[in-house]
Amino acid sequence: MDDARGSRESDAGVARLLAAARAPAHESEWGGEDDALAAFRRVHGGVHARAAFTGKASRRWLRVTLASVAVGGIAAGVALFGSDLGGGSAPAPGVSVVGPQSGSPGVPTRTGASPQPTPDAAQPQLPGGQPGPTPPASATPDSTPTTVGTSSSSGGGNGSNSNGRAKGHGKALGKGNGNGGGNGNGNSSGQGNGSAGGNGQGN
Amino acid sequence: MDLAAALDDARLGDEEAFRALYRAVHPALLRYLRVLVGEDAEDVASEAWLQIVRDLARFRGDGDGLRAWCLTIARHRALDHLRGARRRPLSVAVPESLLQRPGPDDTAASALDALATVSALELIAALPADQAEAVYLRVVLGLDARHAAQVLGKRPGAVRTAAHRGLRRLADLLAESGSDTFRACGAERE
Repeated sequence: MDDARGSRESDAGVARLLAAARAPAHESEWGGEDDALAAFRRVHGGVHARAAFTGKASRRWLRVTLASVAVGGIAAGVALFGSDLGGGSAPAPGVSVVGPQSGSPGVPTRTGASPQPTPDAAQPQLPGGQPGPTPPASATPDSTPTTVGTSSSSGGGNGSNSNGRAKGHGKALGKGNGNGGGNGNGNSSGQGNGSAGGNGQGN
Repeated sequence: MDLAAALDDARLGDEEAFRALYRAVHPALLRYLRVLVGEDAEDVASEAWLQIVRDLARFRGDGDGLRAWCLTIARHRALDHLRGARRRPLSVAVPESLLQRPGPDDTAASALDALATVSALELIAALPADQAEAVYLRVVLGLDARHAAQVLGKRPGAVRTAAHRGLRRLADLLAESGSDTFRACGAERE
């Protein structure tokens, strides 16, 4: 009888103890709130800034990429178009035509080395952009033992931190003419592509 | 604010959401640490919150999961603290001292003090460690067995058993002491 009563009383005591442990938070228990908030600001303030930057950067990256593709496409078109023109209208013997025949003031030379207007200048540049890896690209002009048609072309494009170039070099030896076209694309992810083609005709 | 919503916003850096989250979690966390490390609870809680803040973006789960996750971090920090201190913060003699604190000459105010949350937590902390933690997480905090087991790194069945044994041990302590501490305090409240 006494045992049962004691058991009930101890159970009641446990219940009261547990209720005390579950009591609402006291004023003294909120002491660390400011420190926790300060830590939160330190850590997640940076996250906010990064998130904002990422949003702007991604939009800029998209614009630059689209511009790079467009400029690269134009360069390719110009090069191919120029190649067709070059094949149809042969210049004077021994003179190699260099670069895209796009109406730009290119001067035919015998050396085949002539600076080319590249898409780089037309590309929007990101501040602080650094050149990325430049994949090698080469053009192998078609040639024959008797006549060497040479081509030299280059195209380049760059995004925020990359560029792509394609070059084809050749020398005109003997008679013949050559045309070459090249283009290059680059994007802001640091990749560049380039291609160049050259052909030559000889007689 | 709903804890799950607060969690989502806090992950995105919303300070008010984090404040709501803190207020929902901190009292339980601090009291758990009182059971584990006694008077050093606030220091360990600060360390725990630093880690919680740092890892919050990586947490995946709901509100209950968040509570358990925070308690798990707090527990790890507490165990590190205890390893560093090389001691259990509360001696076995604590329950006796607690139970005997309100003597016959004590006023009602001191009896109510004996019912203070901290004293109750210290009494729970006097249980064997596994029982103390199980009683706190399952009975005081109301975590389900799965989340309590997650915090403790044990199976749910083992946590249930430890909680049951802990409650019986508490009842025995109260009965053996012959103290009317909590009964008296309860009567005062009523």
